[in-house]
Amino acid sequence: MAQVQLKNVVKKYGSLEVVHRINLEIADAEFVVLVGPSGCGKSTTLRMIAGLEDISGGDIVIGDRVVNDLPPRDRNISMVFQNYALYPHMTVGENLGFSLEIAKVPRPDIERAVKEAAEILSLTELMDRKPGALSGGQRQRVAMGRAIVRHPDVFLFDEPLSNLDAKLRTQMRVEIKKLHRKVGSTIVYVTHDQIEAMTLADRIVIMRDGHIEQIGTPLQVFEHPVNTFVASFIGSPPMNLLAAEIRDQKVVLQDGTALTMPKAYAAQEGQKVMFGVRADNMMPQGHSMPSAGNMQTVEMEVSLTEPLGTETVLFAELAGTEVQAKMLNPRPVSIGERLVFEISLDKCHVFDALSGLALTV
Amino acid sequence: MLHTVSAPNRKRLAKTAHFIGLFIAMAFICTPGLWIVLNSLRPTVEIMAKPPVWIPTELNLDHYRAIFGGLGEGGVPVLTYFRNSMIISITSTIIALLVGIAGGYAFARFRFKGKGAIFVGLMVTRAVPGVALSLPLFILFARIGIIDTHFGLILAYVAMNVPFTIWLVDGFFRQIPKELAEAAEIDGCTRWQAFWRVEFPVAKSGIASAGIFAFLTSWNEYALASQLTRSTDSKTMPVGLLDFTSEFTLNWGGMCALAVLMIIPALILTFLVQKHLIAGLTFGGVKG
Repeated sequence: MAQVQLKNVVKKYGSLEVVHRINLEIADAEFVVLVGPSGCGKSTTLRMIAGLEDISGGDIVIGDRVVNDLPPRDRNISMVFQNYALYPHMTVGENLGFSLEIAKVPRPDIERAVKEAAEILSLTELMDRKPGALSGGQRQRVAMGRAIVRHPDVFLFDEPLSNLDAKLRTQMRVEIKKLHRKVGSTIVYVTHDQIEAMTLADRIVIMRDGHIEQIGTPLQVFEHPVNTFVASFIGSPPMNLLAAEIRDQKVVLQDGTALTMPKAYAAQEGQKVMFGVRADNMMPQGHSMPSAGNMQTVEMEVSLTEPLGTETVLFAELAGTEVQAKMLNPRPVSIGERLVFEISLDKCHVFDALSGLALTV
Repeated sequence: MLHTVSAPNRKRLAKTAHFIGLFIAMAFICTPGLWIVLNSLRPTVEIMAKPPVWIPTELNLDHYRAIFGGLGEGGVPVLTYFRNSMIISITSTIIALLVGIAGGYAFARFRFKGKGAIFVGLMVTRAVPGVALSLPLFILFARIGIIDTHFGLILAYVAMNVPFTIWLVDGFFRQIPKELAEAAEIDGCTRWQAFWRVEFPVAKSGIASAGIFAFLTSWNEYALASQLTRSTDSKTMPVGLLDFTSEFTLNWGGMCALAVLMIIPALILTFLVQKHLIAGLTFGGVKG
């Protein structure tokens, strides 16, 4: 068990800098998810923690050791790869025991540890099979078993679920969370899927272009995104962002609709801003949550519907921008129908149009 | 009314056509080989008969007896040639494999200056026909005194085999995701252990096939060997076949018998390795 610290970590390939002085502290037994679009540096960061990539600057600390120059084998970590990277010439049992065998652990101890890991992940039946004879989900579990068998300080997961189909992914997500409960070690998990990030993480680290944009609990980053990037990346459907201008302390949309400034925000007169409202906070009258705080209504024409059962996502146009809204207790809606939507202003966001930063008080 | 062929019938028809096609192809491939085996087992009169005798009237091992017999009675130093061939082929194959594995791995895994140029250079050497090199090699080897030695021929064969071996092995290592070695390193291996414990065993079937290519090239090579070997000290079996030609006659029977003896080890080896190849390690450890 150990904490992980990244201090001003830089990664360069030749003259190209791909990770720019990032700082991150991960507590012991914490589950941290690095999330971001592809090419944001999240996998590189994970590989630097693993020791599979050299760092070009800064320090990486695992436990109380600076591990900058230690090879992967001396860092006491284990890693689950996107393609599982099981050894195809070994049986499941041999795959699980390989690390202990390399560490010259006595045979009976290896067998005990392998058996224990196999039980945790219900792999006991598969011990004599080769990876080629396993299904995707089973391979995934073997990869996790190989990781837990030697009780590492830190687990690293590199997009472990992206090769599974949607149903299995949801199932394995739950298993990973349970596994974390059971073994209680520090986990650093990389994904590009914000739902995975939200559901698994104690804390989410959102990255873009080699920078950390925001670090926080799932609810913090959802409710208080620091900029438009985080706002549109976290949450599904993504937050609606509408260009607006501040006039008389009101947010005026491009079609002249004036909205009261949300409580937690402040902006200067005449400032160009982006007004952010999630689909959850824009619902048709009669199909919305009980109103709370400042409410305002707008009328929009529905252009597309996505029925999801418990709710329907409605597409409409507001001030020249396509927006998505949610309808609770849905009824059939026909295209072209005009509905009155209630906006919960206190849950909306205001960002600077130029910098994209949240204009919180 | 049109005749329609029912689905099962069509299937059977396709199967029969497939079988006949295969049979014709195999007949073309195998007939010369079978003819050699047949000729090695029947009297010279029958071999030379016109029109050819297709069904042999008598089969015996006379030619085999003769080639193992004394020099005057059509005998040749078969065992010495066999030994020369073995020593030269096995040694050159081992060396070519070692260099090929190291080189192929480097090309597959590492970045270094001039990688593309070196690789193309290696492949270009394959474009030069061996015979074209035989005269320069002959002069060179004669000057430095390694003509008519095992060493000389081994050297030539290693040079011939290395580029192809590197190319094959490079391909096999490229198929192995680098995550396997990374996983091994995280599991506690050194770079070297990761190679020997994980990457090498996974690429084993590929390396075996590269080995068999190198071995067969050396084993069957004639053009260079006929120039670079002079005496029984170093003559290989293909060169030994020439012993059966004299000014006015050709001992077809003896030649065929030696050819059969030459084919057998190659056949056994191919068979052994082929089994290994079919076992073909699945790359199932990775997404499949």
